[in-house]
Amino acid sequence: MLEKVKEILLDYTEVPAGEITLKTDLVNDLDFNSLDVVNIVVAFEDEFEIEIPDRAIRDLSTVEDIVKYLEAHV
Amino acid sequence: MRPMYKLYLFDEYEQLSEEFILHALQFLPENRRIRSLRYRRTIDRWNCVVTYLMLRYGLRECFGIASFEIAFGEYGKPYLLEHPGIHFSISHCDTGCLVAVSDQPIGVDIQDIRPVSREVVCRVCSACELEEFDQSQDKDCVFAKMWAAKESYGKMSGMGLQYELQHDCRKKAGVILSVDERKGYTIGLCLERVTD
Repeated sequence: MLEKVKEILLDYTEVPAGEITLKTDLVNDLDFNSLDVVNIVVAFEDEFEIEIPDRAIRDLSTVEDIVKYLEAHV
Repeated sequence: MRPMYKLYLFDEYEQLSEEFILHALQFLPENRRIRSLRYRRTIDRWNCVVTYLMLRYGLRECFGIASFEIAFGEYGKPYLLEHPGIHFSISHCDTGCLVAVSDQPIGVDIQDIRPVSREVVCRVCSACELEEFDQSQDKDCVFAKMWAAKESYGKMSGMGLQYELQHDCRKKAGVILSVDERKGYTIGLCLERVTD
């Protein structure tokens, strides 16, 4: 799952793949703003054919949060 | 009673230099200085420094506040620890940065006008907003204004992105919401409507 998440994130950041780990923070490490976060949420929804509720978005602050969320809901 | 507020906008990056930013770091508290140096991109580091300087200037100019400490609320909304009646909001993007100070809760947002997919628009816009988007000539700008409105409302309310994104906050009662377009970016401003 981590590799798939990284693959999608790499479409939205200039940070090299090798620097993205579970602990990577979307805002502080990948320079994402709120609209970038919405963009990746839409990408994950498409890729995994799920709907991520708005209230869950705020909790997706690290790569690990995303991986855990997807593992629980896909 | 009308809310008192003032906006400070900066977009003349050609006037800045790395030397100025390094010099200005001495005026930032340690946590902000560390945060600014963590940024990978120059523009983010500069914005971090410039917004703090504008906040410092605004608080002194409007409210005579010479020193302050920033704390964060439940949803991450920043506030002044020792000045509960004074509010502020900060936003920055690749083409500008914006700070607001006020005696009422306030939220501001500045957004680069950049290409957006209809899929994202569908995800975050109401049916009315989507219709407006579809009928517009300059779709990227129209969406940037909508998003600036949503962001500034989320910041004013302190909820961030916790509210329903598809809700058209421009129609929400009890708030004053204004959006504007400048050179390559849009600005959103949201204030609580204060009744006499």
